[in-house]
Amino acid sequence: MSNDVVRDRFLAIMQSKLYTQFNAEETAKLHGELSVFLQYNEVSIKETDYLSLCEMLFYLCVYLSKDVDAQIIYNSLRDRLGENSAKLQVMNATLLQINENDTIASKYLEKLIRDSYEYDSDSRSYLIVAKKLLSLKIGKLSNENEILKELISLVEKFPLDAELWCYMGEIYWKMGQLSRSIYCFEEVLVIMPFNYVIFSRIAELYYYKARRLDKGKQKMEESLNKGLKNALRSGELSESYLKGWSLVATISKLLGDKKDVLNVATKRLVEISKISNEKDKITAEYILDQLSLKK
Amino acid sequence: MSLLSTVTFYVSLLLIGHAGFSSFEFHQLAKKINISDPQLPRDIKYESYLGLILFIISAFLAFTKLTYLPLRYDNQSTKQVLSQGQYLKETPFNKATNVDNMIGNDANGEVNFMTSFIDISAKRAQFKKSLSN
Amino acid sequence: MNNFEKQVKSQSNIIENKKRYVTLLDKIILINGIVSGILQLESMSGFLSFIAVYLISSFLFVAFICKFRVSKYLENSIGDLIFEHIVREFLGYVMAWTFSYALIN
Repeated sequence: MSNDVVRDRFLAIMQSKLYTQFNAEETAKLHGELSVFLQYNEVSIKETDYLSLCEMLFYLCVYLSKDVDAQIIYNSLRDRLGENSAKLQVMNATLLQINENDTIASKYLEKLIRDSYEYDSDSRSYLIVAKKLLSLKIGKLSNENEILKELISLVEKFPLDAELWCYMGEIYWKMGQLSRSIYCFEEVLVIMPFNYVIFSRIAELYYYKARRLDKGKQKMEESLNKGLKNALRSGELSESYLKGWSLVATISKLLGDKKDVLNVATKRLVEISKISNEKDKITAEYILDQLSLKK
Repeated sequence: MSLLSTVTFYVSLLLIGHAGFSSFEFHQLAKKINISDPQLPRDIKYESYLGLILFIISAFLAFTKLTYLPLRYDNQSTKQVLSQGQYLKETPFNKATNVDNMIGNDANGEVNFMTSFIDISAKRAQFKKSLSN
Repeated sequence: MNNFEKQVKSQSNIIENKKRYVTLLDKIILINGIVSGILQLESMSGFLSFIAVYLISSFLFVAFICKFRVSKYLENSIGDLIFEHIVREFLGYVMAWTFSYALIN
């Protein structure tokens, strides 16, 4: 196995921030592999790649409670890049959060914002720091309404940040306000028009809305049709996206009068069950079974 | 780079280098004995043509099929190298994302996973618990 | 296919594919220039050698690497394959050609 393939895998995990979705065993495994890789390849990979992989290693250490290692990585990065980068400030706040407590970390970030970011024209860094501060605040808030208040005030400052809208959509979804949630996710699509994952998320929400909230057949069908459109767009953008095509199949089956759409979805699901990765293959088989679409 | 490509690459460099040196010697000689319009001997010509052709072949052999590793560990075959059997990446968006789906990636993960809002303390506690079991 | 095929393209993949193609051409054309110098080609025959090797390499690329399905991997076939890089490659060729020509003569 060539070194490049391994490096590309680490970089892909770093860029998509997939490591945040790993469970404990996976994180521990990834941490082990990455630290060995970085030890032997410090010279042979590009410096930007090396630094961003270091950042990932830092967060892996934090998740795994390896506080000393995290501190060492932070120190070496700080010595290299200085303290004025937003990403490093967020890392520092994370360290304060785990070594001291949330309040001290919040105070540190608030001071940064008060002293410089409020007046600087560097809105990107401001956003990164503000988001970290918000996540610290959210930890303390129990009520969703209070979280929303904080979120909305930040969204008003940064209306073009997709992640904020996405998070707001999730909060509304938790509160059961599906129409508002859908609106938030649609805002994400305005910013990232080819994000097929969000398209299928919207389709999912329309599906729930039709099943749970809508009263009357006409209203339900309207929601289902909207959901189908979103699911189809997600399938159009990604030919083998399992969630998108499963939703197309489920919704079109529910609607009953969309035979050709159902046929296309079945074809795609059969294809996914043949060519995709192990997990998707099994899931696709299961969905085909559940919807009794198998020939 | 495959072995075959490396071998042809070095052979072609050798041939071109040798042809270059022969050609240099020949022209020096031609100048010394005052031939006004020297014609290069055929063997040098053929040698350099052959060198060029071998080099082109080696450059094409150096193209290897693109391979990927699955990103997650949740199946036993993590070290299995995946490939679509292609030399280049497909450009239509719906096909290009197939690679992401195959290896379990999400190109917009930074937004879709909402990584800024992860509750680190909760996550640490949970990991500690499940790793100590 | 018509409308479905006209849809969104992945720009990052197009850039990567083009980069691999240009690297290939760069290598071949530089060696071609050196060989032309060794053979002491002059004026028209040198240019013809450039054109021949350039076209042959892009044909081989289409045949073996793209398997004759260029639109799957590049944005607009002829433009990307031939015209986009011709000036760059030609300048590289002239440099290698004159360099080895002067060295040998």
